[in-house]
Amino acid sequence: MAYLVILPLCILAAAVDKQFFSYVKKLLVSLLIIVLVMFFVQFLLDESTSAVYYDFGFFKITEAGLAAGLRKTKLIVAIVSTLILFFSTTDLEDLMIALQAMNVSHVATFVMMSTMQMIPEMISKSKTIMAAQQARGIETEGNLLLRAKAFFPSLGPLIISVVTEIEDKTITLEVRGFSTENKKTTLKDLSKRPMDRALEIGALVVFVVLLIWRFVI
Amino acid sequence: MTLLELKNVGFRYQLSKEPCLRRINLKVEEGEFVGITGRNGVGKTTLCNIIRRIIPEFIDGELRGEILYKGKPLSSYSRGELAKEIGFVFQNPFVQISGIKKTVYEEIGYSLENLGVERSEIKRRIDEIMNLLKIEHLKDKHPKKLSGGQSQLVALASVLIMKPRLLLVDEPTSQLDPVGTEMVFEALKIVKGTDTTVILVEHKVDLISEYVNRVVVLNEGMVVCDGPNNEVFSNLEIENYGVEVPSVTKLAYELKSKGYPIENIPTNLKDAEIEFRKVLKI
Repeated sequence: MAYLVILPLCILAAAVDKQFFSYVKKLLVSLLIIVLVMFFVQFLLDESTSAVYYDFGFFKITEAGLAAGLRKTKLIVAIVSTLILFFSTTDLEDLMIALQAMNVSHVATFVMMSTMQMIPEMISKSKTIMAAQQARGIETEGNLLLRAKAFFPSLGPLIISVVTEIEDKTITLEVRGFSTENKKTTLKDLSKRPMDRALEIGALVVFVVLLIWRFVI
Repeated sequence: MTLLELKNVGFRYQLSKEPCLRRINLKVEEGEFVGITGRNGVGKTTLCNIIRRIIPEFIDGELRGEILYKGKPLSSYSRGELAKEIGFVFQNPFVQISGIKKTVYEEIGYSLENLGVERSEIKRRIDEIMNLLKIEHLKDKHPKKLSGGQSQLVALASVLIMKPRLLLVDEPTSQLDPVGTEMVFEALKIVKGTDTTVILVEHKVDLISEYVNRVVVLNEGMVVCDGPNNEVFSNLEIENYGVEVPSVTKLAYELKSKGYPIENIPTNLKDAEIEFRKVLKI
């Protein structure tokens, strides 16, 4: 199901949103190594005498090993591919507005949204700190050990600056009326089109059918 | 009408032995444009934080005295009411961005989204404020890709859009280059034309002397001078408190010491031009 239905469907959905290449790249980066390692472990552990497709001596690719690998990785593939698809094709602000419309607290949606935004900011800040370290004559490029030696001391200033910014952001939000107790409104209109409604109902029907298929039949 | 009144206000930070502010007495009338100045560490930012109630809501310490806003204790206002009543623009232009909006247009509207204003009204007021501060050209830019001056203008617009009665502006140009500084002061000049009461904390005396009606000088946590712009800035005593008089004032005193018949010591460019033309007969 994960490999034959969910994964192709996700790739198709990404392609419809003109994100085929970026989506596949993200999938490969996040899934390839873990899936390959899990398959490798299955092949190593497999002691069955089922059909052997290829014999490397110290481990064999067997039918049972492949089946076990597919079984063990299907959940990861299903979860990761759908999550990546969701975040690649969903505008975070739209998500925030939709959640607020469903009465999720504006504090919770803000925390979610700003956490997402924080990751690229921290990467950029980390680069700035590394550049500053470099300007002070600390070697930041070279082999893995050298880079690790430069990277770990940069975590201190990075964490301190992030914490300071959180304090500033709290005051900024206070000034911008974040703590007012009234119902929040949104500038962006996120009213649903007939197609959205149809997809929503369609997804719900598929979900119910799958539940029946899984637990009843 | 008195908008803000501080009676014997003092404050000591939690881990500090010495108080940062002692016995501050200050009255701000509606419509005034007050400049607060003083050397580093005299408590200017602390004073702003107290007026906006960031102290003691977010910063711990020992706060004394009485603060009245529109005749009522400041503590009797809810946080939401204070957000609508008292606007605050602070020093660092880059931390005043919400971080969740993709355009300047949306960023400015965020304050009104929080106040629950209707969508059509938000749009109308964003257009109005962008037009007032002349920042329409920034409309589609990403808020995090602005220069310091532009960010400070967006922060100012984001606060002004809430139509606060009192606007606190704490050293808005301390981290800006001369171009950014000029942009912010031009915007403040526009704000002066509205009915908003402004308290501007600033080091750059040449600039504040051009805009404010009244100057308050702080020293060692106390108000040491308080009066009309031309009175305070023409008083050389303020230099004892680490505040220089404006350049035109210095020049006027210099000319006077050389025997030129300067009658009125100017404290801003406009008055200086009139006085110097009269004296130099040009």
